[in-house]
Amino acid sequence: MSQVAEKAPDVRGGTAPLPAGTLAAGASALALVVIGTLAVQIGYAVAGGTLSGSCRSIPGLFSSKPVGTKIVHKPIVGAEGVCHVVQGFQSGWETALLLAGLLIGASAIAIGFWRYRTMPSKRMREQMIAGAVLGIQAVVLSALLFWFRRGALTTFVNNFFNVEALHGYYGAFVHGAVITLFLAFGGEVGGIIIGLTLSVFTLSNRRSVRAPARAYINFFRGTPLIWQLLFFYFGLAFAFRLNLSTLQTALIVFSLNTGAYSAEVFRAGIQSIERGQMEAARSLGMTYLQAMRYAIVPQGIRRVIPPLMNEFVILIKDTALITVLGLELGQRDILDVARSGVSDTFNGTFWIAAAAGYLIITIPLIRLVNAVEQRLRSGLTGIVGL
Amino acid sequence: MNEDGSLVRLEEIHKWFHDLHVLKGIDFAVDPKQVVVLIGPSGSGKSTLLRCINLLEEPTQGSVWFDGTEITDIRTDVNKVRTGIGIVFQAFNLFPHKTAIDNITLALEKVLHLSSDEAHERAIEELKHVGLEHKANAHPGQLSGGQQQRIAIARALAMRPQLMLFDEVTSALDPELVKEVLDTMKDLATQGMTMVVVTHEMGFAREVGNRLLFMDDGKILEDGAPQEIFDNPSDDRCRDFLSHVL
Repeated sequence: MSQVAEKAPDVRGGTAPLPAGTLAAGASALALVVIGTLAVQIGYAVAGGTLSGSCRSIPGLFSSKPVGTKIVHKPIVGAEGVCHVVQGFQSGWETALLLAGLLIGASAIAIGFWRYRTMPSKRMREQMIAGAVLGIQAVVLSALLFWFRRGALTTFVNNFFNVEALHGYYGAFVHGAVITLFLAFGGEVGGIIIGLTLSVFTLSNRRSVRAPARAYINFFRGTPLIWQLLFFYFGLAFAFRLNLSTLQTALIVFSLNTGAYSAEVFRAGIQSIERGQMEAARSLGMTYLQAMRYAIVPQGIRRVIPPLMNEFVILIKDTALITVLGLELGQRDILDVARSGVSDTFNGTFWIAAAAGYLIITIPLIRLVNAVEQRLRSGLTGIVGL
Repeated sequence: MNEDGSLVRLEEIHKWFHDLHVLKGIDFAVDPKQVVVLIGPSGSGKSTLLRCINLLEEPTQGSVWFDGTEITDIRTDVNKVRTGIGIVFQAFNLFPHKTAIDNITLALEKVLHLSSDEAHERAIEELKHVGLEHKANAHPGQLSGGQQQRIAIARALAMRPQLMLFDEVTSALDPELVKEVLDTMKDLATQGMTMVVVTHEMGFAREVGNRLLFMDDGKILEDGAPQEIFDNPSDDRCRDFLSHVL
């Protein structure tokens, strides 16, 4: 089939100075607040100079210790960076940016919402509305920033955005990410195997086959994962004299838990396949299990790929619970690395670093799930040859 | 064949769906090479009756004999029996994740245990019969309804069944696609296949069928040569039904 390059006509119509201007006002208000604030921060970071002069006037950046008869002021770790961030926020530049954002944003809101109904073309109306909506975002953001910089800025920035506090922990974080991914992958693979098997049991017509699978699923869905980890590690592992490491335990419990959830996902997927597929397979002489294996499950699996991937994202975050089992040095996952960093340095920047670590892993996956869902919904059969 | 020379015999078949009495004592036998057409208003039990023949529906009471075996006996291997009875559905029910040819070879390999070469060869042969060997590698989603239904017929025939069941196989098709499927069925009848056909295509019933059954309310009310029944229906409900569809 030859593809004809033809495009649907653009019928949104032309624009005019007023709607175009409103859109520009809304967009520039938001840009002033967001990009402007970033620029000020970068400016102060690059050109802020060394720790001297004005920085000394910021309370909390120096620790004072009596040495002999004198009191010695020593800068805290990362004092320079913290000083620049604080100064940037409190600078006149920032005030001007936020005020400009407020004013321009407010006028975009006023004009946009006041006049959008009178616009003669669809494009103009959309520009008016978009300008007003961007204006709202600019106003809300700059109001928040005004409020924020009047708070305990120095303490907050030092406690959560003091990058120098992380110094020496980067390797540990990377290793932690490997552990997190290992646990999530292992748990997901084990969970898929358990879940697929259980789902076939739960679909049986025979109550005696269904009941144990249901009991298993209800138990693992009905109790907290953290309870399962603790009970397995401190209870069952001893009772059965299993000599298991923390990570082995975690891998088993994550598999068992994910198995229960993915069993439900698979069951829903299999049940969503039209009855006629089973009838067609059975009427060709296949046994129930053959029909499942060759006709039903392959179709069901395709439908459950997005929910399974979502479950994987959830599992990545749930692996953080192993911290309750007490981890040794080489076993630490992302969150446990952060926890030990906080207790070593009394600085909360590690929590932010941990969040960033999880996001770096999960956001690409979340985007991938959305893409796959889109593709499945668009009716194109098969993803990557499946 | 059964002792009485028939290929299929139904004896006193009753079917309840919960408290709904769908089949109310069905007795009939199909002889080899017969083309039996089953007509009747919707909800009369035609499809249920058809599906009782290959035990897609289990009769609540009564017995079904096929080729000398009582297949309603619980000790009968139903899967084995079904390989001798092909069925084609209204909704085609092709496996959408498999190509046309894989739809056909699947059961040949997994149920009849043919080698993949033998299965392939037989599948091509059946595709040729329905005139679709050039679509062997197409997925069902890429085929028209008529083509899908012909593939479904080929899939059933590849099992080399002794009996073919057709459950309103043209009802889901666009009008211009009905003919190609009916022609395929006509060919099959000419070749001597034993067929039971549930249909609303009265032209087909008259032209191809050599026996017509009229069902209503779970009972067979007319049983005879199509021409006779069309020209001179003895049952009132049958007359009424025919006056609406003819």
